[in-house]
Amino acid sequence: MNCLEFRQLKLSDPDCISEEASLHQSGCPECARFEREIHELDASVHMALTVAVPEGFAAKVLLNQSLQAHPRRPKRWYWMSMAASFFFAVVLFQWSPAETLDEEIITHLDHEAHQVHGNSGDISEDEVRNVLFAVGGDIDHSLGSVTYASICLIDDMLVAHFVVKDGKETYTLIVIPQEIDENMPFQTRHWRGLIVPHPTGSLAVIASTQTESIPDFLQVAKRYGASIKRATI
Amino acid sequence: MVVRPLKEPSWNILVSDKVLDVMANKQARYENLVNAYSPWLYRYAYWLSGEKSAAEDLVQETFLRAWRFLDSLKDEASAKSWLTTILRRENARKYERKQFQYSDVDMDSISSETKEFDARPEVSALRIALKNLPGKYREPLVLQVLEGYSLKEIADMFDLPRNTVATRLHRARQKLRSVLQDDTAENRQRR
Repeated sequence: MNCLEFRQLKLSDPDCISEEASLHQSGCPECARFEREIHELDASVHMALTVAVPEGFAAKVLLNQSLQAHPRRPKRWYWMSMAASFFFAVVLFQWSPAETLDEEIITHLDHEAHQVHGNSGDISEDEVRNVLFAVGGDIDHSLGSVTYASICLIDDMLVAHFVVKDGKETYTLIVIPQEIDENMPFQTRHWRGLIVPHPTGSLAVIASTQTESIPDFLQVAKRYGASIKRATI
Repeated sequence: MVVRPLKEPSWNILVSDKVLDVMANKQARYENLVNAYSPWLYRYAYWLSGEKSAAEDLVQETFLRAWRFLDSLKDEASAKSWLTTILRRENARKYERKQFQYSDVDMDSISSETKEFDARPEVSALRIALKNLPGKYREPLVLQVLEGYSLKEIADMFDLPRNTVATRLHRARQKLRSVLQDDTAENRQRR
C-alpha cells in the first residue's frame, strides 16, 4: 500500500484496520499524522452533527401512534348487539379441533355466526383500512358497503374479518396472511365459500347456505380481491 | 380455538382476549423501538430535511409506517436499519419534491441554535460546512460518523456499489478538511 492508497482508505473509512494499512502507517510518519487528523476531523464532525432531541419526543411519537391507530369509539347499540350475539354463539358453540385453513375458518365463522345477520351499520373506509393494516393489507379501492370489520385470530394468525353487502347478497371476507397454492372451495351445513391466493396471503369469501342462489365465488373473490392490496412500506 | 369473553377495546373493532394479548405484545415491541431509536432517527431526519419541524414530522411518519408493518420485521437486530430505510423512503416521498436546499437556510439562524448544538465557533463552522455539503456526500457521512454504519451497510441501504459510497465519503471528508483549513487560514490572517 502506498501513501495515496492509504489516504484514500482513511478518507472513506477511517476505522478500517487492515494489515496492509497498519504496516504502511507504522513506516510512514506523514500518513500516521494524516490518520490522526482524520480521526480528529471525525470527532469534530460528530460534535457538529449531534443535535439535541426535543424533550419528550419518544412520548410524543407514541401518543401520535395511539391516536392514529385507535379510531372513534363505537355506538352503544353495536356493543350491545355484539354482547348478545356472543352469548348466543357461546351457547351454540361445540368445540371440535380444526386442522386445515378452511376448517379453521369455518370454526371461526361458527363462533361469529351472528355477524352475518347482524346490524347494518356502515363501517367507514378508515376503519376498514385500520383492520387491513393489522394483517399487512391496504385498500386499493372501496370495498363498497361494509357492515362488520374485526381483527380476529385464526390458528394464532391475525386476520381481517369483514362482512360486506352486495345488493341482496351478504358475503364474509377474511383476509389471511397465509399463502396458499391453489383455490380451496369448501361447504358445510351453514357455510359455503372459497379461499383463493391473494397478494396479502389468501382471501376467503364465504356466504351462508341459506342464500337463494349459489354465488359465483371466484368472480366475487376476484372483485373484492382487487379492492384489497398488500400494503407496501 | 377457544372462545373468550369479548372485551370492549379502546377502538371500534371487536377483539377477544387472545387478540388483545397479541396486540399488547405488538404495542410493547413498538414502544421498545420508539424508545431505542427515536433519538437516532430524529438526528438523521434533521440532517436529511434540514429543519427541526420537518425532522419531527418525518420521524412521526416513519414510526406510523413502522407500526403498520411491524409484523414484517422478523429480526429485532435489524430494526435500526429497517427504520432508517423507512425514514429515507418517507423523506424521498415527502420532501424531495420540495427540493429543500441547505443554502436556503439562514446561516445566522444556524449559529443561533445554541440550545440544540455545540456552540463553539469551530464546531459551528463545521456545521455550516456540513449543511452546505451536497446531500449525496452528507448522508453517508451522517450514517458513518454518527451511528458507525459500515461501508457495506450504507451501500446496501442506498442500493449503491460499495466503491461509490467510499468515493462519496472520501469527497465529503476532503471538502470538510478544505473548509476547516480555509477557516484556520482566515483566522490567522485576522490576527
